[in-house]
Amino acid sequence: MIIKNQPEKILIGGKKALLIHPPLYDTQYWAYWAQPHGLLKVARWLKDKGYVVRLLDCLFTDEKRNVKAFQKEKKPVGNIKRIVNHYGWSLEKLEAELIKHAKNESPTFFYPDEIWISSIMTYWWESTRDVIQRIEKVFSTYSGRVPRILVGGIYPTLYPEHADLYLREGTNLNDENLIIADGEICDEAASSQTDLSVYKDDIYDHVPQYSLITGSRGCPFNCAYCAQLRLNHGNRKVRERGPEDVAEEMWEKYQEHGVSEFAFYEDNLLFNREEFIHRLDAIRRRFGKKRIHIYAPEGIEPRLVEKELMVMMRQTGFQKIHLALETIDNEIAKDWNRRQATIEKFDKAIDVLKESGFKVGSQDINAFVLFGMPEENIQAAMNTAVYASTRVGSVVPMLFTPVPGSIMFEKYLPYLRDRYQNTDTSKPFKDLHLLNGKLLPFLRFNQTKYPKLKASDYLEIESLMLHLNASKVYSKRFDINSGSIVARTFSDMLAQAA
Amino acid sequence: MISSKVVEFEKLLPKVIGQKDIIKILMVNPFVSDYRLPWFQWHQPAGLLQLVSFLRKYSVDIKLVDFLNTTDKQVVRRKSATILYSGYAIPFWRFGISSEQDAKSKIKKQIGKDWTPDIILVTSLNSIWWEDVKETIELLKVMFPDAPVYLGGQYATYEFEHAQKHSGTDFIVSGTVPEITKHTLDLSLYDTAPKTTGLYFYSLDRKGSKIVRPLEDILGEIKSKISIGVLEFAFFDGEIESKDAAAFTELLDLVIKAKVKTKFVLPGNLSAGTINKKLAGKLKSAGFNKIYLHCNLDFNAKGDYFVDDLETYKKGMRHLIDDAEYKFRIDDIAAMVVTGVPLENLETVTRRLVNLSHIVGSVIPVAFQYVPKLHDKFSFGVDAGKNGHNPVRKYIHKELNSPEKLNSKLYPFAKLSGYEFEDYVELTRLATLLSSKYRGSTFDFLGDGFVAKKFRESVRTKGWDPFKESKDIVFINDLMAKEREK
Repeated sequence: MIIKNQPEKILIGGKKALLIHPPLYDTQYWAYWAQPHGLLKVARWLKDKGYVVRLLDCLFTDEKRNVKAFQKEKKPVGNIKRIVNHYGWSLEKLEAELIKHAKNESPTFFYPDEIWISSIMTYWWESTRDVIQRIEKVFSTYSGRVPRILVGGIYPTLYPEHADLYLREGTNLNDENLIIADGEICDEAASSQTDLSVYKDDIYDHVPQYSLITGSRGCPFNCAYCAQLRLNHGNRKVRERGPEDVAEEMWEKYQEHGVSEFAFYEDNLLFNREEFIHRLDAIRRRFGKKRIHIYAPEGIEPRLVEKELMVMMRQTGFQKIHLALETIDNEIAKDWNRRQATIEKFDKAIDVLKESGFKVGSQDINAFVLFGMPEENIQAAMNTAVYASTRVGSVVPMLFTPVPGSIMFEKYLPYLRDRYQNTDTSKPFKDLHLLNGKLLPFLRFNQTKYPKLKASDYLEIESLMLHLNASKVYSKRFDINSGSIVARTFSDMLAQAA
Repeated sequence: MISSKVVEFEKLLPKVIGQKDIIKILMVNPFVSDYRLPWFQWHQPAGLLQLVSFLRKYSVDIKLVDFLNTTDKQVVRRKSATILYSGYAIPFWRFGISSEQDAKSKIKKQIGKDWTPDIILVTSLNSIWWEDVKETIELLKVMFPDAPVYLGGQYATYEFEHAQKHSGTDFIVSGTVPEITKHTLDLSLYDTAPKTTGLYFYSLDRKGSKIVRPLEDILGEIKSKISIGVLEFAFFDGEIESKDAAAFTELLDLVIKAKVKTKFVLPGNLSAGTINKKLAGKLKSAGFNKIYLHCNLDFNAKGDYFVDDLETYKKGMRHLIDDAEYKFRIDDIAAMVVTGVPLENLETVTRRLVNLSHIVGSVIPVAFQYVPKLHDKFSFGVDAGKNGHNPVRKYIHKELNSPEKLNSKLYPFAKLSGYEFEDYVELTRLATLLSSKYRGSTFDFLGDGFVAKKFRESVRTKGWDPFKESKDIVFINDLMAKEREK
């Protein structure tokens, strides 16, 4: 059953909840910011409602912020095979934890009324399905009664019909027993602070020393590859939590858990400039001279970069800036519905960042470069990578994943249905896991334009971008356009060999 | 200033072995101060360890303090200064000790209580580290005032006069002793056997010429070291000459037949031209997993010092890849490229790096360490001036007149060659780019692949520069303005 905007149907009298952050299946996974943000908010919200909760965070990292992985399968992709790993707890480990709760006689572990699962990326949906199967297996084996399962997060919000149909695969769960929460449950839950105290559990050896913070939601734009508008239920307004509330949450985490590293996860962090300046003020007032680090790993909009703001951000604890470059070609940007983002604005943003004290050539400034798009111009992607390397210094390659709810997904759905033989249009497109950008969903599509294009070429493009980053000596990378005798000789050799 | 006495090894020997029933010897490999210490694991005091082997037959009680030995992944270090150099703030580290007190406590810990040396032998692995040698000797003299200190090794050999004046040692033992070179590196004095150790293919005959050690001896040494926990062997010889390629192949054959399971490293021992089909195959079968090709140089040449042509590298690589099935760009095979030679042409060096990265898959820039006693005899492609002095030696005399000033890591000849330190940092960055591995492989910028071609096209057309057209206009406008001004 899909529930949207009906909190009364979500909470129906339970008092004990088990929260699960599932493992995931992917070819690569960077666990640095792997906190189940929404689920931690739910934890606080439920506690406020009188619940007893326990979190099973299958992606809990070690103190170096790494998560264990083991090989799950090899997937053929064009001329290569990509290794898909299982990241996080094995399903057996999760099952062992579930059993503790399913045995009625256990004095230590409660029998849950509800099991809440957070599911993030659409292409990770399979692990959520597998977790649900384990839940049903364990609870029906040990007690004959399966608790009510509620699945929320980005995936069920972007594609609730998919979740409702395919997450119950291989189970006997009925509509009442598997709830798909489409979007925010209610304002109260959405604006709750995250609860890190759930990590004070014998199963974890430490409480995370970092925290994800969401101070605003929404973005007025609708870039063709982004699904934020669907995530915000079509609301283009940027809604703020309020500067004091954000600063208060950060301070509380600093005091209670020693957290000094924060990441703002927001759709458009700088859009409400004044509000954001107030937030920075509030943080500085709270923390005084205490040193904290703040990141915005989702990137900020280059158009909104200006000196006063950047200096303030630096003073408040931002040491790295991630910028959405995506492409240097304005025409391509227009095709991606990114009229607001031009290369001229991006280039100016770099000058402003330099003036504000961020260094080019180190990892102070990082630029996202998008590739693997349908109908792409690979030379333009390469030009963008070289520009990002020479002008910014740190290239962040982003292989495109078509996300349900985005313009691109809708536009190419007929192709994808055909390509992956999901031709029954009465049902949601099933194989979301195959749309993972790292599995190159548009390789075949682009081979019509580039007949010699191979899957390995895409990996090589990604490799090249990372090679360009990996030449740092004395904190600065090699810049092919620096004008030094070495750079000139190298570029001459390249040009001659072209 | 007190000058140290010079003693020949033959005269040192009776002092070591003839005076008491058992003579107690303390051997020391000092800590070192430098900007970097790459390949620290191979900075073993080889001469001292061979001497231990040699002295085994006598009544000696030897203790070894090797400040650079560690079982960790990194040798302990502490920042002793930040050097401002050509616009860079470069950390200057002291490797081997974490504090001043640490040196004393390490010595005490290593020798134990109630043990006082009768004689102290200090080695030195590089003359640029002479200040650390001096400091070590000062410390030893305070701790053991009655024990005479003998200094040997590179500093004592190549900066003999300097060491006499400045090291503070009692005696200097200069040069290499052929007899000692026949012996293996004795690792028994280490608490735990090092995971990696040096191995010699050559020893010296009485005249000081290189001769191949008996192959069975080398095999025996490998086996005995594996039995105490050594996992990897690096050849400490300079180049293994092509005339000895057959003997080297024979050694590898013995290793293979003996089914010795270990790993070998060739840190610059083989030239590309020495590698033939048979040798390549044996290298693979014997377990050579790091092959860094030797860089042959002619210091009398003009501008371009590199001796081996690219074709030679191509041939050598064909043997390694096609005949021995090493994996191109994945296995640890690299071409060493010496940089920072006086009066070199940086464009030539850059081209060499790029071309070799294309052919070999990876490059290792090796900063040229000028050693006056070894290199003063070369012309570096320039004629001596009217007064008979070569400009390179003149420059050294004027600007680099102490061993530490010759430290290769600062590229001391950059100015003489007409470049800046920054140019060499750039060269190092380029080499890092060319040799960086992602998904286990380096990137071939000159390759025929789709991506390499697109990359080169971007560079050729300046497609990466979204403002190139507007820049062109400005450029023309500027030209017109300049024309008007004229």
